[in-house]
Amino acid sequence: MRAAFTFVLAVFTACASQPRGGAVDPTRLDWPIGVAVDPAGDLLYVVSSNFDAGRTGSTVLPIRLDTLEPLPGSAVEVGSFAGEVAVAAAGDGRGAMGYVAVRDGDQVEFFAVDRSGETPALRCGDEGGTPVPRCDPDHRVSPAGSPPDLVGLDRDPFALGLGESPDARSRWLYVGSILDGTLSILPLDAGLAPRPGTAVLLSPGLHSVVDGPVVAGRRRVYVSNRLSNAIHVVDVTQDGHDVAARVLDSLAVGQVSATGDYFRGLAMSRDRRTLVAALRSPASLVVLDLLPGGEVGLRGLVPLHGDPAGVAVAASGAGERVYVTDFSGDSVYCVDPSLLEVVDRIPVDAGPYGITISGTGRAFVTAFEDHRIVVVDVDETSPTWHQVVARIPSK
Amino acid sequence: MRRGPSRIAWSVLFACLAADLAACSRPTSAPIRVFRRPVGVAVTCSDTAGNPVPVSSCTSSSVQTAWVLDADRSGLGILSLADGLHTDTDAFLPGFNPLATLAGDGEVLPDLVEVRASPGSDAVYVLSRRGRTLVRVSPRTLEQTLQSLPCEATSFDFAGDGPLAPAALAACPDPPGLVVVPLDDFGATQGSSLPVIAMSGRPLRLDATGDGTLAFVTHDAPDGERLGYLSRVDLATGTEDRLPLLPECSDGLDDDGDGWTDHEDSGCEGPDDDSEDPDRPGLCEDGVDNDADGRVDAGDPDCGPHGVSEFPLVPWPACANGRDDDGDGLADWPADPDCYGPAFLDEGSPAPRTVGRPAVTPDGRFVYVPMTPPAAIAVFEATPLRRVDVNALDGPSPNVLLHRLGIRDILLTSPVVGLAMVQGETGTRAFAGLASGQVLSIQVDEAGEPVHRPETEDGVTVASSTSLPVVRVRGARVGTLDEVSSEYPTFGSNLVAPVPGVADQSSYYGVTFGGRPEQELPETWRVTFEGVVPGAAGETGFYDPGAATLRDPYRDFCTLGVEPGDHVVLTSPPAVCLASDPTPPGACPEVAGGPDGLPPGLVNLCEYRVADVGPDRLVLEEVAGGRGLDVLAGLPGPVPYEVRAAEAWTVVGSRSGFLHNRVSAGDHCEERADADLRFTGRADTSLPPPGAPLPSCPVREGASGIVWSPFTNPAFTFRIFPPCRTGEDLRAEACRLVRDTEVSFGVAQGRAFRVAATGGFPVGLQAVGSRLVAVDPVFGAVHVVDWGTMTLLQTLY
Repeated sequence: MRAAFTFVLAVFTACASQPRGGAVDPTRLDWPIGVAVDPAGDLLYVVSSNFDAGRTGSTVLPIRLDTLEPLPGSAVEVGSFAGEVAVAAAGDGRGAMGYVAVRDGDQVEFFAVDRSGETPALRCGDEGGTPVPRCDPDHRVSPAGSPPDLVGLDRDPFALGLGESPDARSRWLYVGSILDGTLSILPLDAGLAPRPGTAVLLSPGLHSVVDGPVVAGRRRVYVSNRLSNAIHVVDVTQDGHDVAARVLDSLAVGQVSATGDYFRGLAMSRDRRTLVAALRSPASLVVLDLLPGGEVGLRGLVPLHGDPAGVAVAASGAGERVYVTDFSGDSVYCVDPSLLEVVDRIPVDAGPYGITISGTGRAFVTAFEDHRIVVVDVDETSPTWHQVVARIPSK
Repeated sequence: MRRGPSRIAWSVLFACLAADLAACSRPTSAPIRVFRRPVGVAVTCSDTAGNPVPVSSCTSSSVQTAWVLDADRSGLGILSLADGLHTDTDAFLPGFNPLATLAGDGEVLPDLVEVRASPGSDAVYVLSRRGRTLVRVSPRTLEQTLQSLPCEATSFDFAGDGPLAPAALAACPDPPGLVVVPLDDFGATQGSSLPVIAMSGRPLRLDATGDGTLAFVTHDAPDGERLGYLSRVDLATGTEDRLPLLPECSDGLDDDGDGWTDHEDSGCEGPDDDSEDPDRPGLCEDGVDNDADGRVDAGDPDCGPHGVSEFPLVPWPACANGRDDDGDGLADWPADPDCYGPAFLDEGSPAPRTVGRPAVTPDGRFVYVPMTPPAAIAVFEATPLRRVDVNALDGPSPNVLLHRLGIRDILLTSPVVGLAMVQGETGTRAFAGLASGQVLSIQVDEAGEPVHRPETEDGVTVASSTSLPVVRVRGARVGTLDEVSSEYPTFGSNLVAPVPGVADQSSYYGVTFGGRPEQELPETWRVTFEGVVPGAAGETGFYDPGAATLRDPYRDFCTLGVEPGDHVVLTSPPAVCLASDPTPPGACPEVAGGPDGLPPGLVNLCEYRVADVGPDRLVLEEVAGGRGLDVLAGLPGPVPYEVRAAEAWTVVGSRSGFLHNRVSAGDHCEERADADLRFTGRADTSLPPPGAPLPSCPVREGASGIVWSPFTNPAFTFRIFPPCRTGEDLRAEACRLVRDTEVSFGVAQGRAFRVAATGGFPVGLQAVGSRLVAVDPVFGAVHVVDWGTMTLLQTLY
């Protein structure tokens, strides 16, 4: 009996001390999901999610946008199952601090963009023991405000976005959790590091968050929910150092067919008058008019195929265009939100999820299942319009 | 020694192979998805010998073939509606292959946007927008003929038996016009040589009358442009007539003929203004000392070099500040079409737009045009061309609420994704595919009389209802009515209960409906104690101490519904306005924090009573306990303010808004000519007479000792029960009513519309005999609906 007990204990001990998978390899993309363009337009930040736990953690890999050259020596490691990524600019307009939602550990990890050397590098300390610098505890912050009865359970932060106070004096980091459904608003200090803020309870399934217009002196924030038919609406204000949030009625789309799988990506038009959301119940792009005074009008739904995921807005000569990834259909749809119709479908690699668009008319799509970034030309004046012009790494 | 397979094994293997091959050689109706993203469908009919049968003569005994436009696969799927069998157009490739529409160079034509069958079922036409080609497909041989077009046409239709017949018409946005494609000589003429009927605007979608005499065209409205009108083109003469779809100040037309359009026209106050007339001089050219500073027009230095306003506006309005505030690449008036004059505050203003194609009734009498937001169908009479005010009190479907709200169209619950017309035995029906996954039946006329109303199910009664009301105080959620204590106001019940003495009627948490569901909208209502009158707030209040008047050049207080007795409250109050909160500790209800924007323990005393109301001015007087008007006079520059109901509740619907009967007339306010007491947005609390105690806590329904003050609007009635608690001496004790206490509830309209639920998106609706055919891009399905019974007959994949 004693031997059996010792054996079982040994097994559990081994499990507890066994690190997840092998060391991260910054030269490759493992299940890439989050992607963001630097505000200066010179770098792309790609989050490998380590979805299969095949590595010790996730990575954030910077890629030069002029040459599309990955910079593995500049990458950092963060916790596993990382989600969305955002990058805040310093006064010179260049990205200075990046943030990643990390589900494993229920934290946001953040890294500085060091441009002092010849090659830009990401810095977030180094815990040591890993070939790629692992962000240290000083570069991690817990989302605030989980309800007391949920403390101790997982939060699974996934949604991440940047915002600013109505008077544009303060900047905020929004973090939304899948499991406990809390939206945290963390003010950024002068060095762009997140500090404790406030949180509100929405409902489980938060996926994406965007900063909306100022309504009656408050910043209006929209949060999509993958588990319920809801786009949550939250008003945020800041008085001195105190941030306050107020939950308003959420938005829903009336439909007779529901799959139980609802919203994914969210994006806002440049003038913050149009909100677009990827919906899977049924597959479509929801286009909402944000009317003066804060009312919301449903402009319409644009039917799509498959599993809409990420959403990004690009300017074009004929108005804005919305790009939506179709995760199961391995394609990206281009939608005219004014006419409510699909302009084009662009076949890409397997499992497109995250998408971001640079100021130079390039869409960067994370091909989750093909472990690469697909680069699509979205410049309407270009001869390669809506063609895949590059892959990182190339096939 | 190893042995080979036995004879039995070989036999089994052979049988399996034979079965597989046999299966492969036959079409299958197995419900597997074949279409990837179908966006349109055309139906042809033939007799059993394969001879074409006109669609208008098509019966259930005809062979009906659906030609499904699959946008993602860039081809036409061919599906038999009788047995659900697909035609595989390339047996060499695995799976069912759609018919690829090929250009002359053998490349697949891109951007297929529409498919239509000829009325005689002898051809199917497919439009390739970016390919600038109309393709004709023979249903018998699948032979394709290409006709090049001179433009990226977005829509097409046939010219019936009209003056251009036989021809197809294609709508070209750039250059604007209708291209006439002769069908007799299809494909023989270069696109650049085809005749074009020149038009205005950017033609987008078209539908022609069945007799081919008229075509109705909507226009593209890319960002920054407003082309909100419907064109009627006389196909015999090429004459174009235009009629606004949007308010005059958003329609892209010079409606008053003064040479100026929409935002350029000084008669337009904003995009919702439905009149470009009269043209009013600006504040710096009207010869009036608007801001009462003793200086007029150009003599007032506040007008500045651009003559924006006599009022000292700081900061300058978004439409005159030299910046591109809305990020559309255009700065200020008149460059930015979102600016209606230099003093306009907001560069961004979303307007309704057309969505999808118009639909003409089979007799050519009416045209339906889908709009959004809100989801609606605008109705036009074809000849003479005029907009039908569907809801007018003397209109075809009178509705007192919708008429008051200025809604002229058929209001829907969800945006239209497809529209088809059918001539029935008793009248015309329109069928609207909705983004909610339903097909809705709309009665166009009955025995020749216009109706224009969504049909409801006969004999089916659905009770109007509300959601469980939610109580918030100063924006913070307290709970639902069944959760909060008596210290918060209620409607007297937290239950759904029968109304005593009234058969088949229930009270929903104290809200009772009036039994006229057509006068209800599905919306959220907010009942707020001393709430802000919607729209009656701003940053530009200019106080004239001589007249004790607060003026705001951007507001029309009459139209907003401000009344004498309301209170003006300064927002962002300076320190001189603040005082300690006199509320004693332990007062009920318990409220966390201070009034909005103030630290706990402080109150704002800069609050004034409105003694008189004019369109842009409020005459003020002091209230007991408040700061004097001298404080207001001493504040520099424009003051931010809001106007609140005093000792009363505002009742505001998310779609109905703040109902009232006030309008502006010259320099004063007056009652509307059609004033109706039911149009009110103000409610009172039912309380004991002054000085009398509460009879009980909670107050019981119908209790004596209470002056009951029912609130009634066109949709419902409720009474507000006072908040209270039971004191230590076991006596009922009234609690204070806290400003910005809100009780909100949603209303579900009690109407059972005649719908067929398809799920997904029923797009490309076509009427074929007694059936409607639609495709669903999301689920790759073809739906067949019996429009007589509104039942879904079959769904094919």
